[in-house]
Amino acid sequence: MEGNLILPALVAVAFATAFNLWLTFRLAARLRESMAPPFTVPLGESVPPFEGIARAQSQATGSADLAGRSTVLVFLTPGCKTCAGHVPELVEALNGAERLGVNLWIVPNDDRHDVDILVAGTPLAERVLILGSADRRRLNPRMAAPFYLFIDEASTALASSMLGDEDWRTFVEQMREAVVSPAGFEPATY
Amino acid sequence: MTGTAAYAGEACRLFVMVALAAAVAGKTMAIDDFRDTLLDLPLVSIRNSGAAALAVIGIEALVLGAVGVAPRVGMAAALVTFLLMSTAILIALVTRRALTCNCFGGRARPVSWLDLVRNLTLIGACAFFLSCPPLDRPGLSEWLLLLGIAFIAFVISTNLDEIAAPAD
Repeated sequence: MEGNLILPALVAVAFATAFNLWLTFRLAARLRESMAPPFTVPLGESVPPFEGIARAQSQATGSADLAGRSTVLVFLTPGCKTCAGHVPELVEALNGAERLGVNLWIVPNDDRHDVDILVAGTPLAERVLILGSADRRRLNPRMAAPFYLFIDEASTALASSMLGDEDWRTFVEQMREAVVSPAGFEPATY
Repeated sequence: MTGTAAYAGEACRLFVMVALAAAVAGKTMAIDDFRDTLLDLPLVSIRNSGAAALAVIGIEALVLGAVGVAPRVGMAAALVTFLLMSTAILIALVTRRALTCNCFGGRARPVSWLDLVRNLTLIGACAFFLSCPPLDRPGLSEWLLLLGIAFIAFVISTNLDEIAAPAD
């Protein structure tokens, strides 16, 4: 009788253990998600100070140097095809940004700081800003890519998200219009 | 010893079957996401990504069927399949491609070295089964016990990222 019960009991224990493990891992994932850093810097507030190097110019460039002009930071990762898909519109946006006096910087989003596979041979190669990982994490808390951060003249974060969202499309459209009829950059109400 | 090895081998076969079944179900339920994952690999273009996704799912389903019907041939096929997938993961990791995959259902996760460890576990299970004598007609309770153990192995091997995640 006892022998007859041991095996079914072991079967029940095995399945209960598997289910318990599954629940534990789900719970751990939920907890981790709830503790994840915010997706963006707080909008409407000053962006954290940062200090980097403009690669093409070999020149130190940071938040203090960018104050007084609208700035767009675009975070790209070399191995990301979505990032590569945005390069043509970034080139267009850069064209308009230069006419309107908007700083547009490409920030490599990994520690190798190498986005040449994405920007080599384009004007974007002249606009690569190398930031340390601590600064990158402060400006792009989840290290997302392709990711943007709009900063106004007063160093306030206006908008920040993944490239391709509505705010990003509005910005690209403004930059395209600037090439056709240069007028002056009016930051949209993000 | 032979008997124990045969039982362990059968548990390995069930582990591989559970993993393949979850892979087929997970990828089928989120085929668009899986197609995007393939797009981030070299050799897959937008034009053939849909066909590539269907082909991967189809191969996994075929191998799953083979493991069920003809265990020796099926496990050999599974071994080759996992080796090919490990190669794809290795290429993605070495070339530092930012990939996410919901390869076994559930949430999409970034592909990491832990996926390689998981695949090595599956490859090890296939190799162990192929080196073991076949299990001669286990009873239903015994078989269910081995299936339960296979589920435990599957849940652990597909959640290595949770186990290895920092505790902060």
